Amino acid sequence: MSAFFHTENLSKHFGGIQAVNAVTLRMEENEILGIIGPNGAGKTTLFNLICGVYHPSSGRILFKGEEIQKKKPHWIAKRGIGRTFQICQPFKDLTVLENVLVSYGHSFYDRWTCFERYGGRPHVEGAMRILAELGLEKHRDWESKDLPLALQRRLEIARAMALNPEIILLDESAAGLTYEESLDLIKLVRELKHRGKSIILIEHNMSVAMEVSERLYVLDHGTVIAEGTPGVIQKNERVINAYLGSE
Amino acid sequence: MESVEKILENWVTGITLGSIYALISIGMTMVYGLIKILHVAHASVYVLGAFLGFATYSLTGNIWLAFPAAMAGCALAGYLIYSYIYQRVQDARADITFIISLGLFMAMGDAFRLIAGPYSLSFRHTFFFPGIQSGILKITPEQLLVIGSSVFLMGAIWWVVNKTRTGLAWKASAQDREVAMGLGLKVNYYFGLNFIFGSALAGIAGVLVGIYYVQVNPNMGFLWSYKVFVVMVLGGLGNVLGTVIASYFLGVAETFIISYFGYFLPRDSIAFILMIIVLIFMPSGVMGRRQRI
Amino acid sequence: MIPMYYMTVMTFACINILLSLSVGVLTGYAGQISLGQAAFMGIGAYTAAFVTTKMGLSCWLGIPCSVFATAIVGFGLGLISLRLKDDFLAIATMGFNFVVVGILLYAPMFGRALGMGNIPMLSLFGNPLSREAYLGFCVGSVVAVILVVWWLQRSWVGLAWRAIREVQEVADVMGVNITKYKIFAFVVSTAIAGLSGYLYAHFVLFITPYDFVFTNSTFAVTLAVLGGMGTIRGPVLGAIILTVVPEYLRFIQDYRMLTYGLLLVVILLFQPEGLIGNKSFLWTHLTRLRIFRRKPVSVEATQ
Repeated sequence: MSAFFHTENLSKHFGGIQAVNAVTLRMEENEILGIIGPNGAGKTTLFNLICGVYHPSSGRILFKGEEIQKKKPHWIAKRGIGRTFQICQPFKDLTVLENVLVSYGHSFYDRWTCFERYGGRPHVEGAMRILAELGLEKHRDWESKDLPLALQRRLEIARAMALNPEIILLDESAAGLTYEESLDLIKLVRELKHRGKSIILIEHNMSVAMEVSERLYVLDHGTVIAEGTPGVIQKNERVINAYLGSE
Repeated sequence: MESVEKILENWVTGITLGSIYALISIGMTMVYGLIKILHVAHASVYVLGAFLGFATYSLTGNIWLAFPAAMAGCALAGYLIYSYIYQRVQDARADITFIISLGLFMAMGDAFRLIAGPYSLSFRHTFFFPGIQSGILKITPEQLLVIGSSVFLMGAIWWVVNKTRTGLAWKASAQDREVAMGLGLKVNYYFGLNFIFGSALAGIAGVLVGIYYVQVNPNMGFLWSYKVFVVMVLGGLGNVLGTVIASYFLGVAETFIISYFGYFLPRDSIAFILMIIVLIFMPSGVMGRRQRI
Repeated sequence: MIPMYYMTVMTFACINILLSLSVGVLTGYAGQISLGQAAFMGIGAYTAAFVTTKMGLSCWLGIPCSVFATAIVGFGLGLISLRLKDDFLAIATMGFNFVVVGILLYAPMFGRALGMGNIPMLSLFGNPLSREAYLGFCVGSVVAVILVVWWLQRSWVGLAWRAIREVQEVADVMGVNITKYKIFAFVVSTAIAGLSGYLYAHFVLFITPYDFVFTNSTFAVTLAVLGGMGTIRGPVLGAIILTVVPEYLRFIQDYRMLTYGLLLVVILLFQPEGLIGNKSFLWTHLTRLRIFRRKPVSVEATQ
């Protein structure tokens, strides 16, 4: 078992519904991991468990040897796991720049530095660099709610990146994008890997998932039903049935 | 040692009080369970009902006309409030909608005071039917009316919620609004219906309270609205049955406590402390309902 | 000098500005609703009264005592707020207001329903401050609080608050310790309200529990909403308007609840940002006169 990131028998139920059922997965450093599965398979719940929004009913999550399943989200964020959301959730009344600054400031909030001006030059420059990497630098003063969808998705990624994370969780970042925009996204994911990040992405867009993931886990009804490289998964009967069966 | 008579009297009073709490609270909890708005102004609608009933009675001398008049007036008020105010802010932050409702409550309460005067108006009527007086059990006609109406109305509510299409639509929309809309349900229409229904209930409650306490005054709303909150929280927000049980519990408990101990703290304070404690320790459902990420 | 009447109005305006700012900080920046600010004003006022009349200490000591006492209770309310959101928080704070007033009404050491009187005026070296000097002191307090709030909102604290106000769960995931910052918002906000109470007590010199009832909490909210929450200028303007206008339109005194209620409904329905809030009609037109921020790309393109 690699020591970088893995979950052990992770389960979560809400009342009578078992959303995530004994999920065990592992990720090496600098890998691009894909998580696919029919709707309602528990993928987003899995992300919510990883980043601390939910506490699991049972099981463990280990990041670099440390157990993180009972920690608060902001603690996990500062430890190096950032995420985007399936439905874009920018801070609507804040500008694009301010949105990124929120996570950029993650190391300042818990010390006396919290009384420093957030708009100071080094901070703005740092945040602008991140915006520039995602092509959002011209939109710095836009209200985030005015951004078109593709840019909102990029803002979500920028926000996650401002945490300087080691693992980035992308939740259906390709949803609603055009063909060209998805190609840009794939390029971006590869660029992130190039920079040493590890990425887990949930994708419903099959071509994106198959194209960019190095390894895949397939979830159905909260359980892992298959695991392997894209080539292997594409031929897996159980996977095909799971998708066809739910259509 | 209290006499059996006294105990029974307390029970009757407590049940009557509980019935009143229930009638006022059910409308509000139904609205909350469905539309997810804490409709503070419900208490004002209830006062409106009391005044309309009183006015009708004064004009016509017929007590039984007061009820439909109050129902109609309150239903209309409910329609106006929902269409012109709540529908516009349904998707805003929950505390904003609450503040708007509060503002409405304040404005309406003051309007009543300005129109009808700040004093109580006597709402006396002798019913043609007698109360019950068999041995130790004594129930006044007014109490009988209140309890009887409550039982009847609660039965009617149960029937509407469980046996009609409207009730079914309510239950579906309460579960998941988007899914209901996706299925073609005219959600807004049913929301509005629910609101009007709750308001009409408030109207009836208003008239009953006016008759029972033999008066109507503009401050009626304030006194009861706070209790309604407590009852709703104790009974589980949106939970009609729970609210009913909590209403009777509160009514009986209050009556007995005051009967034995007198007022040792403002009643409101006790109720509120209880409510805050319940709010804090209540399981999910109170932890905000708009965020699902 | 300035006639007594105007000074009274201006002093009350200062007191109300502080009350309004306390709502502005908590609700405007951090997005936490409180319908109990009047209770905190009361705690501040009663502490001030208690410290001077019952404990015989210098009235200036009342400042740290009032602020501190209020902040502690505010901290407690902040803890409670962690479990509640939105409208439930509103109800709980409303209930809190009632509980505080109930305690003040029944506690013998606070004078029960008769309240506390004979509160000394602030004095320097044995000489009571004149009305002008007291007004100056109030204005000074207001300026000091405004500076503090201004500093906070441009710091990481302010950004954290606004993120919490927007989508609290996301703020958490982005590294903001929402527990700490929510509690901090309550502490700061209630401390300001407590200071407002202190100034009130040493001005009217006689306080009762009825001065701090729930309806005054709704008044506080109206002040902030009217001007526009989420800014500093909004609550200040709102407080000034609702202190001064009722003096000129005397008849409004009779229709207070009606006016405030209608104001709340109308403003929140049609102009929720307030009169001069950030995206209000008035403000966007006032600021079009000068460009002092880099405009969004789309606007530049059309000009």
